[in-house]
Amino acid sequence: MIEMINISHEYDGEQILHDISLIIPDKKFIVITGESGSGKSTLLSIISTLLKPTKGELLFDGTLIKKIPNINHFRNQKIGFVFQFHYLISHLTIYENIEMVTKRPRAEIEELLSKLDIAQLANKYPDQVSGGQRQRGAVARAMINRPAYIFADEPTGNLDSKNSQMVFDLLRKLDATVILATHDLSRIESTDRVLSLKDGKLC
Amino acid sequence: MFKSFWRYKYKTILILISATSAIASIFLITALGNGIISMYASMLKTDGDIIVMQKGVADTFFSDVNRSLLEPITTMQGVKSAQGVIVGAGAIDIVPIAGIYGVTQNRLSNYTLTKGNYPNEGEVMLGESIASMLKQPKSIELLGTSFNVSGVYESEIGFENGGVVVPIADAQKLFNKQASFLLVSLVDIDKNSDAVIAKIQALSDTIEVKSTSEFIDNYNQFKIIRISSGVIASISFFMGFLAIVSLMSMMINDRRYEFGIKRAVGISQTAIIFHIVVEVIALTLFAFIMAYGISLFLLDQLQEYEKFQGYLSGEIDMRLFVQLLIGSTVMAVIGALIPALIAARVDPIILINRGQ
Repeated sequence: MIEMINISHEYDGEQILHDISLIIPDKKFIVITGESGSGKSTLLSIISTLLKPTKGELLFDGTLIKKIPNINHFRNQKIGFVFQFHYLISHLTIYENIEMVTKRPRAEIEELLSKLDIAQLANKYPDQVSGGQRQRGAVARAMINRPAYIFADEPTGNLDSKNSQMVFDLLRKLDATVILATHDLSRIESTDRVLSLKDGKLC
Repeated sequence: MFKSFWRYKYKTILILISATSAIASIFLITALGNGIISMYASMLKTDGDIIVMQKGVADTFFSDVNRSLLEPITTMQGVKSAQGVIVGAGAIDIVPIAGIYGVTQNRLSNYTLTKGNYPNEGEVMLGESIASMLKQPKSIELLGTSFNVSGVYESEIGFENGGVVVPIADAQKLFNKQASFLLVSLVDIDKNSDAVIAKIQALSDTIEVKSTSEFIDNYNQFKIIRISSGVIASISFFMGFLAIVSLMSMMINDRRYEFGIKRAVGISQTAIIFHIVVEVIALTLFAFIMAYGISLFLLDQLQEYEKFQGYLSGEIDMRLFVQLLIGSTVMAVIGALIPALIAARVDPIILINRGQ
């Protein structure tokens, strides 16, 4: 369970998020939506521990994030990220990008790549494959450690409709708490909860 | 590791060039400084355990010692031999300046003749470098006086190889002095040194007597060379350090995106910094090996270059090698650590967004 208590965030003197409190139960599919500049990416970055809020507390399973003894290990084992831009490291192959984050055996990585239909691209570099294939590589990296939480920030922002649908379907099927930030609700067939943000506030 | 070097190949090359130039210049400056000191020191140490100079004169070139002191010195207990030497410099034919060494008969045997004979009065013998520069002349003009060339000698000491040797009687006329200094060889340096120094000192209050080792350690010219080369080497080190810090900052700025992603996927700051340090050490070691090779090549070329008359001779000893290896590695690691530590303090998402 993720708990946010009175989270506010300020950047360059501008208030991005205002006093947000919410509870996200385990294994739910949550969508954060809002217009561009509404603060959804900032909120997602804070929930996913990638950004420290200016004010407020974040708890995972009742533990304050700042009390977690090894935040890097926590991120590695419990959290997976899928971003709008694939964020794969360009000088590593698709396989190496995944291998970098896990101690799981090669066979398991290859099995996951097969499931995502990119096994044949394992030794290609990100700039040698299509946008959809890159994003599937990013999804594979997010999934490899079987994390309890997956965060996706506009994961289909750069994809065509076919690839977008495929990524949404992939995320929907995961056995994890999935929090997805998107401005495009049209392709999401079902969700456990939609959080709407406007001017940094939950509506 | 090599993939990231390839990915940032231009900056990698720039870092390599900066580090190589900085390390090579330190090698060269220090080696040349040490070479000059070592050449002059060898010249003095070859024939003497004790040096007698004019009191209050800091430089051997300006010292004037009475040669009559040789007589009582050679009869002292524990003294093997003693000789007077005149060192000077002046124009020799077309060469504007070269070393001129006025020596006694017993000193001449130290030079290996490659051509001709040892000089008698009115004759000179030339070092190999200067003989080659002057195209093996039969006679030369030395400070306005003409001398026949009796032979050519080879010396391991560059100063001597680029100079001329004349009998001390002729040198006395040229420089209007009896001897620049006296060199005294002992039967047993460990046993007799202090007692003989005291005895020689007692002969005259116009002289200063020291062991050659003590003289070399305290010789002002050597101190100046050591300090100058130390200062220039430090400046090179600092410039190299600044170049590496700025290039590493640029490289790390380029890689903020990569570091942000690595941190986002749970790779610790320590692991990321360790990776950077390993990369930098690998680069520095490569630069160090290149700099060492370049320095050896240049030192060899400088020694061979005719116009320098063999006066430029460098030595890279083990101590300099190790000191510079440690120094350059520390320089590079600190240069990389500063920007890496700054980047490590930034939230991962900010690194990713800024690095896009």
